[in-house]
Amino acid sequence: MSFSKTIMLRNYDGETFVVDEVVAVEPQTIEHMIEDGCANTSIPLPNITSKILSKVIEHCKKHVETPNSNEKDAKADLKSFDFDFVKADQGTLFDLILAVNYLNIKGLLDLIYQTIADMIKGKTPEEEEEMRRVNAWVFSCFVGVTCLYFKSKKI
Amino acid sequence: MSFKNIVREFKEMTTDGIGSMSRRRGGEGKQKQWRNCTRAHVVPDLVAPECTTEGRWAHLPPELLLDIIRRVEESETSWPARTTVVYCASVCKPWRDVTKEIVKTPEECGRLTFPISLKQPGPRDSPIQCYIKRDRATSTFRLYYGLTPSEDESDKLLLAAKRIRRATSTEFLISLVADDFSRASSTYVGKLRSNFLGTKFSIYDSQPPNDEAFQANHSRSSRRFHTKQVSPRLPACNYNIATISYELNVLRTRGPRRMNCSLHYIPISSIQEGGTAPTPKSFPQENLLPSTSSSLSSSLSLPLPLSSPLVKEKPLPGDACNDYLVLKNKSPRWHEQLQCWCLNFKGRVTVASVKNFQLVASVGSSDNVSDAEQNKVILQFGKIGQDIFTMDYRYPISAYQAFAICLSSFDTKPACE
Repeated sequence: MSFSKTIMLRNYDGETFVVDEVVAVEPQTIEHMIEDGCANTSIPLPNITSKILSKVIEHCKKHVETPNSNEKDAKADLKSFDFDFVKADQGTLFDLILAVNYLNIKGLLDLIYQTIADMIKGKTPEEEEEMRRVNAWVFSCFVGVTCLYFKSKKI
Repeated sequence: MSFKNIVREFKEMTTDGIGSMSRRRGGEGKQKQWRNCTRAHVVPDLVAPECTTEGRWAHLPPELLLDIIRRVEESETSWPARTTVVYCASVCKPWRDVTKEIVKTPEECGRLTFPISLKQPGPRDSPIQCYIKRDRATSTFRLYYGLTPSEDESDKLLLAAKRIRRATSTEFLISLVADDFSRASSTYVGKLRSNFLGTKFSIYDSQPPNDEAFQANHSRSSRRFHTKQVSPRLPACNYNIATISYELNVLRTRGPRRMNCSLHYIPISSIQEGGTAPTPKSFPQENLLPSTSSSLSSSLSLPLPLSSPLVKEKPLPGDACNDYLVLKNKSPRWHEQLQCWCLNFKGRVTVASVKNFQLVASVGSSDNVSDAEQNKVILQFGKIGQDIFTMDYRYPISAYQAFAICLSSFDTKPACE
């Protein structure tokens, strides 16, 4: 019984991705759906865009295809793939983390958590300020709420 | 307050750490203005504006945020790297809530993070080690976190004190920063005052250590009274949290002096089996925002009748304990061969000085305190060089209390030596 079965994933944009089952079951959410018999037609993933879904599939494929051996080369190859994989802008990382959390892919989730944590730790003060500036509307509300309330009418 | 001002202040904040991170909200001028606006305008609940692409990180689901910030907190354990954890708490409110949830008190994890850590009891097992630098020229004393001064002077400043000599007493004003000792400032923590002879000192704190007891009694779960109320704001005054007294040793005229320190807000039960010491969760200014309780009625809360049993269960703020803890200094032994008084400072004190001391709990046999607890050195202070002193403290006292007690050692007059 070795024919490769494929699974269809239909995403937010309406686009359909056809992936091998071995790849598709990397995300635990999809694995459970298949087990529960909900994957007869296509699996809907309405909250994930094409760009993010294709990235996720690429990651799952790579990890499935790489032999699970203790060979240095294989491990190094995987590590360098992961390293390049998370070199994305903040917006993409944000979407990725939400998608991977929904799909429940533990390995990838840990990788993204660590990437974001490292970004927070390794930030230069300018980058830190940029992040705060970007979120300043929330922070200013929280911190200076009384100041804004009393000082200006236009919040 | 324009957007530009907020960004400028964040820029200033990046160069500071524990001293002013979470407390300099909108600058000191603003803090003063807020204090002056005492008419109780209830600030409306925040309604988050439309989520833009830029502000998305504020809306990351809490469980994801928890994991990320936990990783940051677990890897950045010592200063100055620990500033990153404080940064996470200052990004936005959701991040702050998650970070405050993750960061444990010094008693639990042995690390200092937010300024409030300085008012929370130290760890039970091993002391937190700090050192004090004295600057004779400016009469200031600075408390740093670390074993000894580092080569590059990058140590974390925890507290600073300035001595002010008056006609009949001396005062030490204690602040979170080294350049501002103004009582109206948001960085003011408390003070130490001595009597004329320099034999008795009182430590004052701008908030009572058992703040949480007051808040617990007045929380939403208190159904006895109508709960729609502005979060209780304690009167802005100084609370006498401890008294230190020095006595001349009458047995030997040149012997070591005797020290007694009464900690009015720490009960003896804190060092008994299963006991706890008061642990404030936040500075008084942070309690000024209204509690968002669902109201049972729309009327304001009624004043608590003093005869209410609910009031008698826990001490109110401003009320010291009846059975408070007293510390005394460990008596040195006379070393006949060396012809000097000796105390085992375990290598943390290297220069002989009358200022050196070790404080242990002073308990009677009826107080039900184990021998191990009785022998624990709760505070150790001593000289290691010209104007450099080490200070090691542990549960149940906090960094602030320890610092203030050590400051008293600098001011005792010849009358008690």
